[in-house]
Amino acid sequence: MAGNKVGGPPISPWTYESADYLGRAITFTVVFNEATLDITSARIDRDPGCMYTKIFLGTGGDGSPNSSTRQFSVGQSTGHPVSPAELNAAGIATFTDLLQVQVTASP
Amino acid sequence: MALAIDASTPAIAVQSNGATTTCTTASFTPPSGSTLLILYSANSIDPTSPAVPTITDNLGAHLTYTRYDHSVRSDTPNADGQACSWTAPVATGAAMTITVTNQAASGGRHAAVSVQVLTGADGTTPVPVHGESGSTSTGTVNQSYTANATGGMGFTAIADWNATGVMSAGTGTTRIGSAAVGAPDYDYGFFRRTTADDVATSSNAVNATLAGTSNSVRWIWVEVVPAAGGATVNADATLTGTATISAAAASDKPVTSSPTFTATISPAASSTKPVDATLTGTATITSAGASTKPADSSLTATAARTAAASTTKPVDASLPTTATITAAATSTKPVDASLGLTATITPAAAVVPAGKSIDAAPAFTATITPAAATTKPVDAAVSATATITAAVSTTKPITATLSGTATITTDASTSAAQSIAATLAIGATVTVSIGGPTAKATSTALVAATATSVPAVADNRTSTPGVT
Repeated sequence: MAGNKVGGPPISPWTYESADYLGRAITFTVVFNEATLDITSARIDRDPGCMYTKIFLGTGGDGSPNSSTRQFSVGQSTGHPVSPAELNAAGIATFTDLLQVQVTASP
Repeated sequence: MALAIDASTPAIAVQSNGATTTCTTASFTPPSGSTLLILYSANSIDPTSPAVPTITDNLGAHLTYTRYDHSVRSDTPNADGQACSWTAPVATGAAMTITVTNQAASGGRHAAVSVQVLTGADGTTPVPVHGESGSTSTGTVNQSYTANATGGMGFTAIADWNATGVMSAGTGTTRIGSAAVGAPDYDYGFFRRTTADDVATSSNAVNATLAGTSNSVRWIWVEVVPAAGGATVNADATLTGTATISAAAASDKPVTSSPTFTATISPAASSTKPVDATLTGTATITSAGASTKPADSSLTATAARTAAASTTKPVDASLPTTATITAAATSTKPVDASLGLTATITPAAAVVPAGKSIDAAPAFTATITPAAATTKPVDAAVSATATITAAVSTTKPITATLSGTATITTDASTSAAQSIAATLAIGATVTVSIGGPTAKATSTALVAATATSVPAVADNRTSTPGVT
């Protein structure tokens, strides 16, 4: 193999996906400007009945995602936009910020 | 107990920061007695093969983790990326998180962790067969394996170091999750068989399709098997019952009915999925009771008789006889009973030539029992009608043939009351009384079929001495 993938050119959109035990998925999609890396939009999509309703960005002081202060809940909705302002308030203004944290979901 | 994925299964955790070693799941609470399967997919820095990642949890007394394969570049072929798997038995369920620590160099620590909470897994050897592989040129990861046990389920964890894009599930496979990690720096993909459909000693496969042809892919695979004695029943399946219903109704009555039936089969056992219980079913079969043509056939009865009698007196009267037989039994529901028929036979008026007369009105009664009986249900109304017409005419003296067998004898020498008696073959008796103490005529009729009547007999004697 030649080269490594570290630091590849950013490609928008960025997505996170996880299915629950029945295969129903939650997806977090972040659209950003590939030149400036500014986040322009984001949304959470969720298959009906999916066990997961929250997106956790980062971890809290105890190392658990659940204690992270950066959480976005979609509730039972199947589609929920997350505004750049909301992300910005959580310290995620650019795609670079997003890459600093781990992502997971939870009921 | 059949193998199943528990609802407490946490979501995939993705570490997007290539400098952070750890990747931690959200808190989840597996049930006591369950088994955790931890699938790991991560980046690496070419051409280094990172050491085996470590795994732990946040419990006071950590679970015991058994690692299976760690697929890295140093394993052939020389494809970058890494994938790994572990299992851990859960004696007592408690809220917990699991953290996997990547041993790759900083900058290449992107990772994804998928924990599957399994119930019904073999507690001693949950993963009897497993393996790892890689490819420097492939667009698919179709990992076949020879199943160790019936009811087992295959899983794979894939690291596409080329980051060709989101992977998709192939035949019989469900995608647990797939996405790019980092800029992207690599792509993860976790897959499983859609159902625990392994059949012992048979080949099965977990099938994934990459977004493109990758020249650096690594993956691991495992087969998790159920505890001994586990059943393969998938309680999510639809239980379909098929009932073959035979209408036992046999009727020798003229009934043209089409009873329809509906059957509802309900499993007696209710369970959560998956189950290893025996599902016993009971069937309730209800006749809709619909008859498409309820017994509108006709019972046709014929009667025949032969008037073998001759009179010595000129008789020129005709005997027009009409009999109507009506099946008294009608049913709107299946009948098990005989159809009782009664016949009312009304003789038409005797036609007496001018200047002649008869001294009594012929009369008789008949009871007719049809041989036919239904022995089984027929959801139909049953009715029968029969019309018998005998057009008898005689000239004098008569030796009339009415058909059938009938003998009529008359005593023409008396004007006293006469009578005619007829015996029906089916059991009916017909008596025709002409009047007077001495019988003047006797008629015996043979009744055919299931219903019959004996026609009225009119006295045709017109010149019998003593008869006025």
